Amino acid sequence: MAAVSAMDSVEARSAGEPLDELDARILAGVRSLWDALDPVPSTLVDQIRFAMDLESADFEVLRLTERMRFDVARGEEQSRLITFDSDSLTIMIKIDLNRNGTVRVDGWLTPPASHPIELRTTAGSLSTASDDGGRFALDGITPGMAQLVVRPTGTVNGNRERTVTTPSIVL
Amino acid sequence: MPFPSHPAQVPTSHARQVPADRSDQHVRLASLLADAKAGDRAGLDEIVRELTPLLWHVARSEGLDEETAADVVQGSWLNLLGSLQGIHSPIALTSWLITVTKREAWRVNGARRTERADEDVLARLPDPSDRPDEWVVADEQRKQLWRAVGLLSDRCQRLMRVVAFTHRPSYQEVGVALGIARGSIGPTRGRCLARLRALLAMDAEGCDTDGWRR
Repeated sequence: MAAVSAMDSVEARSAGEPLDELDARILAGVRSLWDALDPVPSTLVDQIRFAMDLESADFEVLRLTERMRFDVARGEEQSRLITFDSDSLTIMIKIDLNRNGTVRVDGWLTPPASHPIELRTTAGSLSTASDDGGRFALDGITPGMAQLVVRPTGTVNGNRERTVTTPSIVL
Repeated sequence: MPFPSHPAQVPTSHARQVPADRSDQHVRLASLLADAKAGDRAGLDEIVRELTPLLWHVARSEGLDEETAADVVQGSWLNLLGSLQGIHSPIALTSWLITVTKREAWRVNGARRTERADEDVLARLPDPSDRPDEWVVADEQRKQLWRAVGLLSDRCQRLMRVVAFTHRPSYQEVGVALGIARGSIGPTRGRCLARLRALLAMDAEGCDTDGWRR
């Protein structure tokens, strides 16, 4: 017990000292441990850079709130369902892999409205528009990183509606 | 090299300052931030590379699985674009990013708890009480460090993990942004790091290895 309380008082004194080089070494050691134990996914930085490469900073960011995978009837390949949410808009997309290796995306906007929609991919941008029911579809997409950008043309209280973007995902 | 193996490199004076590379990072971040605010894409890309590991460990230490942590970290960066012009220093930038990431991690955790109350998200993270032999090269100092980290409180473990990925002038703000005031680091060592040092010193004595304090 004497050893424990002696250690406590050493610790208390030590806590008030300025940081020194041993502290720096210990922190560098902690960093290298966590780097090895739980590394940042190798594609994350590229995915973030791709998503941030937008022409304007004035947009609303949707959250990815749900991912689902399910088997297509009688097919071997899976469909994916992803939901993006914000206070003003929800986008649900269904992602399917075509036999020729390209990707098809079927989407629904809620509240339903017709808006110009852009799908940014590393192979270029694809444009379409949702119908009055909020539905849209894009086909022949090159697999890889992609990001949906909705550019409403209407106004709210005299202000132009804000552009809405999803985070980038891998199709 | 994070672990100089030669004991001669360890200074005897405890007042010796932290090596220059940590504050160099701070200076570099300041200039990258200025570039990014002026619209330089390369500056922003470099900041993302520099600070994403920090945000990753903030999200993961809050118990998020890898996929969710990646989503949350990306969301923080996207939201930064709209706030960038109001951020004037690397410390403010770091605090802003940690705060937004932690808040979002809490929100996600809250939503998940109501859906799957029985699932302990923290259980998916590696447990510091396990020896890291399987993941880390056999290095007695690393094993010592891992043992010592595992003996810290959860709060101190989280603080150490995140601070280790931060440039030094931000240490104090990191504690604040994480909601950990007591035990925080900077300008003094703080309780968590003092405890880690004491644990390492004890372990080194017991094991008679090339100690940290030599």
